[in-house]
Amino acid sequence: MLAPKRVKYRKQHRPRPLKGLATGGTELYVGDYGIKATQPGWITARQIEAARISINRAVKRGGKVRIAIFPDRSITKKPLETRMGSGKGSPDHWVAAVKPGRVLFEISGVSEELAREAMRRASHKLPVKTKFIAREGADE
Amino acid sequence: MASKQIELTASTRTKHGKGASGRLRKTGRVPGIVYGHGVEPTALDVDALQLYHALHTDAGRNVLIRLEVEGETHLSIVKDLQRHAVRGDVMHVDFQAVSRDQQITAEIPVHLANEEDPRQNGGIINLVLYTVPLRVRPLEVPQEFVLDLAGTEIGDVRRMSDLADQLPEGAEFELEDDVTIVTITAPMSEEELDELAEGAGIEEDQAEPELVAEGDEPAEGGDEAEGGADAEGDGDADE
Repeated sequence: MLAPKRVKYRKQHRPRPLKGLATGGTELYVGDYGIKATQPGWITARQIEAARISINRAVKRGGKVRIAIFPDRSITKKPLETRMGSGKGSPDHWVAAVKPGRVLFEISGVSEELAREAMRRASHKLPVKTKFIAREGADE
Repeated sequence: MASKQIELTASTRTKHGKGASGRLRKTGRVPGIVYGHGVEPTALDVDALQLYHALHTDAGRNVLIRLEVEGETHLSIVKDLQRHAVRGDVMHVDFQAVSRDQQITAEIPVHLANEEDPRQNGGIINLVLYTVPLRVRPLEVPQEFVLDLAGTEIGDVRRMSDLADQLPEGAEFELEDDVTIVTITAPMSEEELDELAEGAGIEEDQAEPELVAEGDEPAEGGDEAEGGADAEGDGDADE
């Protein structure tokens, strides 16, 4: 699963609710097709991995897949059945904070039909609504 | 190969800022600006539908626009487009006025021909450059470059030098001859595929990342490096 290799601090403040639209990463970078988020949300490393696997299973041998997001925010959690207090919990997982408009996955080297199917399967693994996008002039 | 020229009428605008621009967009106009060759930068707005049609011709983004502003006509190109992150509507457009004789930089799309050839041999087409920057006079901007993949096999590479025969007279590429445009790669082996399809194991627990500045804050670095449930009663940890 994706996670930072080195961090400055183990724990971060909990991310605030995401406002506004994505300002970067809103267009396809290296792929012909992709999906972008239409809702804000935190996507966990586990969800990204599950989506990636479903894309790879769908496209089989052809195609190149790029994961356009990275889970760089740590989320802490207190152990179960623990009383409140006694400081912040320990890091539990990593999330990518995603705003509407952010491209999540890109794919190239496959037909539009296959790309749509792969991205449809990936979107089922994600906690945000997504839409399929294509580069202008792709698969004319 | 002269680019097609499209007429577009714009009106100047005096109100700026997101409020005024937002109100303008609601009336079906797109705020923009024109600048460049012999033109004082002027804020303007154009009809959204006309702009849409101007941008959806065979010439694509490199369309030459005869922009009429307050009775004056400027030959211009679309230099930049700001789009809505989700809907993709044009939010703002930059026009660059150009001279017929002065070269501009245009991004020319690369179109692949005979893509079936490498695919039949089991290769995967990896297009590295979707567009190629070209220094060219505005009236000679080509619509696209066609890269023929006939007879290519796994391991083959097509570079900028392969487009040299399509270069318009007087134009020059902004990239070196040896820059790669497309590569034909081998598909993944069964083992690689299995590995990718299965992943490294979702259930596998992630090792904690290394701390960059371990020595800087002994109080925090010291007790937190232990992990597990916190015994510290300080509340929030530092950012």
